[in-house]
Amino acid sequence: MFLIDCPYCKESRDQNEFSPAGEAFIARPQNPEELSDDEWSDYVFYRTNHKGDHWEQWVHTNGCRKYFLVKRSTISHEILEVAAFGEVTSENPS
Amino acid sequence: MRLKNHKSDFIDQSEALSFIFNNKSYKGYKGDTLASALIANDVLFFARSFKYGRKRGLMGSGVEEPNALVSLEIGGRYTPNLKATEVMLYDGLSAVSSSNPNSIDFRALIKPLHRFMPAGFYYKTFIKQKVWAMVEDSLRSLAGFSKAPTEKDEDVYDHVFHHTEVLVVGGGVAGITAALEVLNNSKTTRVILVDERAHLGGELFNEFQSDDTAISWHHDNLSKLLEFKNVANSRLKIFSRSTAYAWYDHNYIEVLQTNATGESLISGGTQAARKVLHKIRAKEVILATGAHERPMLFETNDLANIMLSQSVRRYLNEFGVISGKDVVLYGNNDSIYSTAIDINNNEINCKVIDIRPSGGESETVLKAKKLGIEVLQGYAVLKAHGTNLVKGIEVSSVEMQGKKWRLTGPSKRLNCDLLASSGGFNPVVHLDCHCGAKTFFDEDSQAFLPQKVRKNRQVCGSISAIGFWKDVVIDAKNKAQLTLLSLGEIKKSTQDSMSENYLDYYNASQFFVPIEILNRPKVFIDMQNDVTTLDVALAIREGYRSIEHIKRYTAMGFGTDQGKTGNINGIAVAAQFLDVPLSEVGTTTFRPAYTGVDFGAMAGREVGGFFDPQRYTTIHDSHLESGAEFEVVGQWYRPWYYPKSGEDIHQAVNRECLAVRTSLGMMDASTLGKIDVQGKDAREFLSRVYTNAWMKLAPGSCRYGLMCNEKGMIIDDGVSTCINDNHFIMTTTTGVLQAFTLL
Repeated sequence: MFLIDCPYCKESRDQNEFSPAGEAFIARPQNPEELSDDEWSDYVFYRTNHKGDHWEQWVHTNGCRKYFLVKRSTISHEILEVAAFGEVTSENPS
Repeated sequence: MRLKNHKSDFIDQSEALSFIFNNKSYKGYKGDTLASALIANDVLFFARSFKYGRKRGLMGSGVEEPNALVSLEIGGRYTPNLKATEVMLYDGLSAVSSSNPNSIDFRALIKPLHRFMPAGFYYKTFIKQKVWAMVEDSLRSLAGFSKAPTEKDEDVYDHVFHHTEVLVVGGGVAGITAALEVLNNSKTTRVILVDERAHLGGELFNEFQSDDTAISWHHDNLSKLLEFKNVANSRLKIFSRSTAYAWYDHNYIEVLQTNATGESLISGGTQAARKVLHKIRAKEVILATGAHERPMLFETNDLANIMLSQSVRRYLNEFGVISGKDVVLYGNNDSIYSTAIDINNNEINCKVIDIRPSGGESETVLKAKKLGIEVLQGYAVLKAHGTNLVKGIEVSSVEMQGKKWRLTGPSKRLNCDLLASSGGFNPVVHLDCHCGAKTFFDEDSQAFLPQKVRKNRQVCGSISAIGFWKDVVIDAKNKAQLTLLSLGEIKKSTQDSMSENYLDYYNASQFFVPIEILNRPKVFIDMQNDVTTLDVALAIREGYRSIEHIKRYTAMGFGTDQGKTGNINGIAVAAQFLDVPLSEVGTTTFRPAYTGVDFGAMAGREVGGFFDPQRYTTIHDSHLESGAEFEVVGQWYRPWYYPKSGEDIHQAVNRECLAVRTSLGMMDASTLGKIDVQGKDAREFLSRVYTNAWMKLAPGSCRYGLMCNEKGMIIDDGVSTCINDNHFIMTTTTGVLQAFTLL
């Protein structure tokens, strides 16, 4: 049961209030019609399943309902950082 | 039997309680556990074992007990598979064995066949031969422990949430010291102290009975704790009879508290909870969970009245009861001598058998010898004699040759009616490992210890193999200082040093597992699941090498005690058969829960009408009047069909369908989700969320639409209506509504 700091509510709350929303920094292709099936399935299904520190998206379902970014160790489940969208990006993941 | 003239702080002899066990009535006192009261009444058999139906007596005195499983009360108060050692006695208590030791048992009748029924027997004989389906029911009815409850639980259970800076698990010397150190050195830090027993103090009172300074330390520090507790807005909470059974991520710990007396409190119309589940979020955790004693291994070591040395001492000192008159203590460390001294002080005959050779004795050993206690050094027990109850033992001299123990002399027989053994101590690392922490094997203490450093967690006391209480006090203060430092309450921690020989207190010698003894039959490792050393040997012969596989092949460490007494011995036995060091075998994985947790406690108040909210539409009464049957969709009670006299569901639905086809039907769509879509791009929006076309839908018309996500999976469907070009009303299905609005 994680304790997550919502960057919008500025409060540390129980995991019960949140829902996970997958790996962060997956950009939606600009031109889906032009993609091959392989390219589309890569966007839709394939994830890095990274072992270690990992940026992912969470949504404060039973709170402010906003999506935000969480950097979590997938080994110890320690949450190292939280950020609003734009504060960190795939080019600048800190 | 209960000792006359025995004084104990824990037993109130002025208050006699009567209770029933296996349909016979007995008397005990306030402060007794069911186990101690039955020892006082000379009851020696508590239950039968799982597989072979062997009659078993007590082995332990607390949470580690593998044999004495009982079910408490009947009807709506029935609770199965409790440990008799943990059930506090109350007036009118009624309990039965999980498997009655006094009735005729099929498993016990086929005793000569037991040697042909090792681990894997049922699989090889029935499942592999594809006849399992024919025999499953009859076999299952023979085995097992208590019956499952059949009636609705009459009791209530509560959930309570807590936030604290420091959680101390374990209320022995280490826990008391750590809690006080934190409270004394900070003005704001909140502390929760939980302990599984009814009284704080752990083993101090039992182990150091003859040490006056220990006893007065206990009294002084308990009163200091109470000073902190008995003030308004106290920073300290103490939960006794509370077991921290699971540690989840981010220091979230669940603690199950049993009502102080164990029974339900129903008074004056209000019903107090029988058990309370405390959900604790702590910044820092101090583990002072102590250690469990492990037994020595020998042939037929499962007879009744073969117990753990510390448990015999606890029954003696805390409850004033003992189950024998001619006691043998057997082990590889000094704790058996302390037990022997306490037994001798109560004028009961006892002998000590120590596998360690003479020479280099500690003070405790010399003290025992000085008191005239007969001591056999360099001897081991090979076998216990007796049918169901121990009547005597076979001993032989042993010697360490190279790195292996060897039997060196002819065996001889000694008589005894109670055998208490100690093969060293297993630190209670379970909780620490629930979130993935590892253990390591420490050669000095011959124990698996918790990993040294972990964020926001300290360990102190005998969980780190520190046994002597004065060293434990120093260790606990040091660790509490580190906790305060981590909280930022102090700038620099003070660390005092323990006595030089702090590991020597138990002086646990090497695991005593000579192959000559392990190769004998009926050397039980796991009493509850009837796993013997030969089962482990068989698992290895079958090709299993990993301890996790050996565990699953033999069922070692499963069951309600989760191998608290047996598992580490099992690992040592496997190491011996595999001929590798213990550290290479490692431990099995520790997972929640540490002890059994009642389903009732997990559910709390969320039962019956509170299990799930019930949502009714405004015309619910009208549906009722029309005789509707309801179906629950997304918590809504929606009319399913309206049966008329004698109709079943199919007849009613056919009639309703026909009515719609030939005249008119009306549907209450108020439970559907409704989304008002407005704006100049409303049509475009619908086209993007639905898979079908919306650009040409005329105002005043409606259309059915299907929603897919990017993976191509259908997520919802529904009808949307066009009010005008810039305004649509969309409906979603009742069940999906909540998911939509929450995301």
